[in-house]
Amino acid sequence: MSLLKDKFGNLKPGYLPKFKDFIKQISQFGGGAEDDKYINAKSFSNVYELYTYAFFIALYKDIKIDLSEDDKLIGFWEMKNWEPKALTDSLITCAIAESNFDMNALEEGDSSYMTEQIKLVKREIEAYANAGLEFIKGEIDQDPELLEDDMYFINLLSS
Amino acid sequence: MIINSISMKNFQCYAGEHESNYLEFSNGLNLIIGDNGGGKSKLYDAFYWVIHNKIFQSDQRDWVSTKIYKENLISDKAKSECQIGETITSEVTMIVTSRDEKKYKLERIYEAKKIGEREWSSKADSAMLVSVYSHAKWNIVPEPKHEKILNRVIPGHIEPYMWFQGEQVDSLMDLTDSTALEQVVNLLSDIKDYDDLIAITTTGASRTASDLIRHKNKLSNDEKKSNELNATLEASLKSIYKYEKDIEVCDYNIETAKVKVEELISKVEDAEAKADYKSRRKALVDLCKNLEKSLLEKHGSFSKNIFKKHWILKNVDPFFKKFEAKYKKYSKEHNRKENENSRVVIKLPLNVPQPIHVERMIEEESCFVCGSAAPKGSLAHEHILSLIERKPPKDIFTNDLSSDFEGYYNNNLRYGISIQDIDSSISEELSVIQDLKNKRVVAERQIREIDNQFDILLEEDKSEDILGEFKQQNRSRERFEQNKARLLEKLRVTTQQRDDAKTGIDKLVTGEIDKVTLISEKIFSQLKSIAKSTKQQVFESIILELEEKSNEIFRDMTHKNTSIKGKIKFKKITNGSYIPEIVDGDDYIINSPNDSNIILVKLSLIMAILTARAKWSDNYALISDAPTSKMADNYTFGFYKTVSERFTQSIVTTYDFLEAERKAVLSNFNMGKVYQIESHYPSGNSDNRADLCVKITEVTI
Repeated sequence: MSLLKDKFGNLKPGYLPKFKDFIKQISQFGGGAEDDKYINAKSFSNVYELYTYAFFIALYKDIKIDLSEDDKLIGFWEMKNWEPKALTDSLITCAIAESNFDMNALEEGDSSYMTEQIKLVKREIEAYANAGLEFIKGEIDQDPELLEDDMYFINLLSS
Repeated sequence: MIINSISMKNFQCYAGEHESNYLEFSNGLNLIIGDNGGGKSKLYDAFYWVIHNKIFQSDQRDWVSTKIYKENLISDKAKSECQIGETITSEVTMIVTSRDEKKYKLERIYEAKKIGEREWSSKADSAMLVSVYSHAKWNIVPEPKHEKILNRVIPGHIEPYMWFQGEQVDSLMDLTDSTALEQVVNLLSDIKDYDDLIAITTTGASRTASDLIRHKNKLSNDEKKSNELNATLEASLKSIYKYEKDIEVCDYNIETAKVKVEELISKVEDAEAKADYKSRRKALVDLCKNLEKSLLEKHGSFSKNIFKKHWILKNVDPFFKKFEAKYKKYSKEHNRKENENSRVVIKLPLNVPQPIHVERMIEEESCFVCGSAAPKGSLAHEHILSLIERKPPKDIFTNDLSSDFEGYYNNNLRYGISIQDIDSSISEELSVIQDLKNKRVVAERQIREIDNQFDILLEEDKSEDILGEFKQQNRSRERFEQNKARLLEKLRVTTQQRDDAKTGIDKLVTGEIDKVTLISEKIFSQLKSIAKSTKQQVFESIILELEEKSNEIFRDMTHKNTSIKGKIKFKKITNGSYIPEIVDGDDYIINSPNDSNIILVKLSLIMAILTARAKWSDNYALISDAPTSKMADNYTFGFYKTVSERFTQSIVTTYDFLEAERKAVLSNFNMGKVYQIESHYPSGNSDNRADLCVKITEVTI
């Protein structure tokens, strides 16, 4: 694996502790068989699926949460394990595009600079994904029936 | 034990000495043929009295003890002939042979003294004598051993199936009782031993689980939190146990309601309409289930397509463009740095175009990008040649990340094409789902229409007023199914709580968990599941064996009858037990009391029990009083043939074969002794019970 992909692959983006129960509620926490997702009435078969989804929803809606160093986020799984990999790569490009990540400077900088730049992307991913989680949670809290609606997560992409 | 003989002295209608009331038996079917009132049931009573000291009281339809029945069991003739002051006895003697060829004499004697014309001073109870034959004489067996020997004549647990009166057959096997077969399986096998195993492993699992929890508590870095989690764990385990029990009750009630609904359907007279209703409804219900399954799969794949078909990238285009712009800027700068000290400025990244395409350009002396000619020696040709001679720049960048960024860029480009089709892809999937939903609505409507038609069928059925009950049972079933759904949801939530508590407890553990404690818990937990599943497997194999045997016997007994007889089917119900059903060829239940073959089916089941694993039919005599009394005439042949072939010894009283010409059929069977018995009044006055005795004649077949 190349240097940059390796660095991004080892990232463990996190979510705010307040979303823990919500994530458990709608995703198959800890993975498991795909079929279990439906048996357990979960909308997402993995936490990273929900997280990816939340990222893109927030991206499209242009909403971000300002996260500070004091926010103790819960990391869940290194990005190199997320599937599909091509989609994860696209997520990274979107985060690169939206952040102050400097591609050229990175080629000149030392390892600490690279770490700092990678962290910028991670923060960008977390800012969007947590905003997405907050948005989805807010909607479902208001109307829990949405979870019964198979179209909800599709419709949200279009709204 | 096999019964060699029975003799009676002044027992009920059998007046006179043992010699005149003596019946010898051999292996095979021993028949005692007699008309109503001929003494058949009293003979059956004699067998029962010897073993149990009880007499069947006809007016109460129950067995009463000798202590209550007293001198009533003595023959009226003998009592009448007895003089005041004299003592009289009523006796029954049975001689039996055990499997090890030991011969026993069982004698029950009741004594009464006549103290007035109709007054008797009777013994409080009968006396029992048991003797064993050895050294060419009968030797008295001490009383403490009596019970054991009597139990060897007919063990208590099989007696209900082995000794019975015709009129009892219907009540011997309740086809609607879900525990009936379980009791039979318990009788037939050592399956109950598994309960001990389950109890041991359950206790072990519970103890090792408690040990593990205690151990984890000791290793916890937050005792308070651990205690809280343990309390949650304990509460959730209790709730799970309760919900599982409640679900079992619901399952039982659902099954009961279903059986009742089936029974009601079977009562409808219009068999053709009934069959039509059931088959159409079944087809539609199957269709609904399939549609539901397809919908579920579609819904599953629908949400999965968010990732699989990249629907999630529906609005990503502006962001890809933003990345593209950033990459373009980067690429320009990167390229500038690369060419800074080069003789020829090449603005394309390394390996772009790819080397194979560059080689072809050189061979064909043409630029594939602009289409211009690039003959050898020309500036253009030189430029193309320099593309292939390029080497990765050295020492220009601290980290050359161009291939990483190019990879990300190419990845987005590949997505770009499929992103354009996302809207149509979603529409297509939606239309498939809508189509399935529409089909389901139509099928559900058709089911309702058929149900309405069936209601009308029930209303029009004049045989029974069953519509109300039918609807009520259907409502009950729906109510229990709703309750079950609610309980399942509660169970799901509580199971999640239990798992969360377990995970929470584990997370608080610091240090290494003792391996022995950990493995013990795992082993006992697995042993518990193995014990439970093994018991269920053994249970099911016995059930299957019993079902096959019952049907085999049933077929044997009915092979001469060409009408629809039904077959026995053990239907598994949701709590894991089985209920016997009598179904027709299309698996429709037929257990209306009007069905003439029900007795035969129950007898088949009883015979299957007796001839199955334990082979009781080999070692004990079947004794039955008029078993064919409720049987259709054309079934009796099959019954006698089957009994004669499958039981080492049977002693059956009957009024079949009274006519001499009917006895010829007996030559087809494996016969023992045949007797004809009839009431006999020596004075000729058949109204005088004080003159009643029984004439026993052996018949040669």
